[in-house]
Amino acid sequence: MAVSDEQVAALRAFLAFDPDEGVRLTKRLVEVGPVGGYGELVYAAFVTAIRRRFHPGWTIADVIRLVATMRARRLDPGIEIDTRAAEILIRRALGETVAGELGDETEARAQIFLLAELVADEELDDAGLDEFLAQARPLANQLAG
Amino acid sequence: MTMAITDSQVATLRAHLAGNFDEYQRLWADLARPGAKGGYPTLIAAAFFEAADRRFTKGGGTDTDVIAFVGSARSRFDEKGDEIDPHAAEVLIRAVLGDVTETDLDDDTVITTQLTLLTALVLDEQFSGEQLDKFMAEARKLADEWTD
Repeated sequence: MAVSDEQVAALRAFLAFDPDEGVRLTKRLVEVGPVGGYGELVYAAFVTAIRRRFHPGWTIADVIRLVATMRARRLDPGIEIDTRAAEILIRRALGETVAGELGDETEARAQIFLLAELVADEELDDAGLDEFLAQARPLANQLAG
Repeated sequence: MTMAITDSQVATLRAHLAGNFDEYQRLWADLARPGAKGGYPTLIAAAFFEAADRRFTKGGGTDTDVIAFVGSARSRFDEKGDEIDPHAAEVLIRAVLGDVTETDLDDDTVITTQLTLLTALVLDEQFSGEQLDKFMAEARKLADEWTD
């Protein structure tokens, strides 16, 4: 099932730091649907953001430094990110096979946190954010089957 | 009865921290003699305490600094990304700062993590030979106090 425009709009609002709109659109998705495929869209956006951030020849040290930097600048007792999980997710998004069982919640929290930070770092304007999501969408469709 | 820290143990850790790896290997082999290693983990712990205290307490460090430092240390020394537990590393530094009073870390994790962090802290200080000697003397004094 391909991702829908409504799902893209909900994620877009979140990434544009428009929380009220994000909450409204997410609520609507839950109430009216479709929900199926949204997780795949978030993951595809995450992978896209990671691949835009890291260049070929990236190292594990680069990954460690990035996660540390992001955690340090968003230090908040309410935003506890599992460092190793975040690093594993990044390395897998870059195509590496990395062992390690990550719990669903741990993975989701790390993924959302990293995605938001990576997109914020890009300082995208409206057109840039649309382009980013358009880039992620084909992968999301592929993952959603 | 726990023995006092020995010259040999101090020399071994000093060689490691100075990056004299041939010397370190030689001295470490000597420590493998029965009974020679005794207080070595305590010396590592004391040196780590001194170095972390110097960096984060006296130097004025925040939680952000701790996270950034652990990231820096791991990026330099954790080649595979799974050798140093970042949570353990941050907890051990926070314990020095008094933010944490108990940990559930096993002894092996504590020692290997402390040694890696200590190495990074000392490297960052860029000690001269004399300064490293002074640092080791302070660490030894603290370790001896702990073993009394």
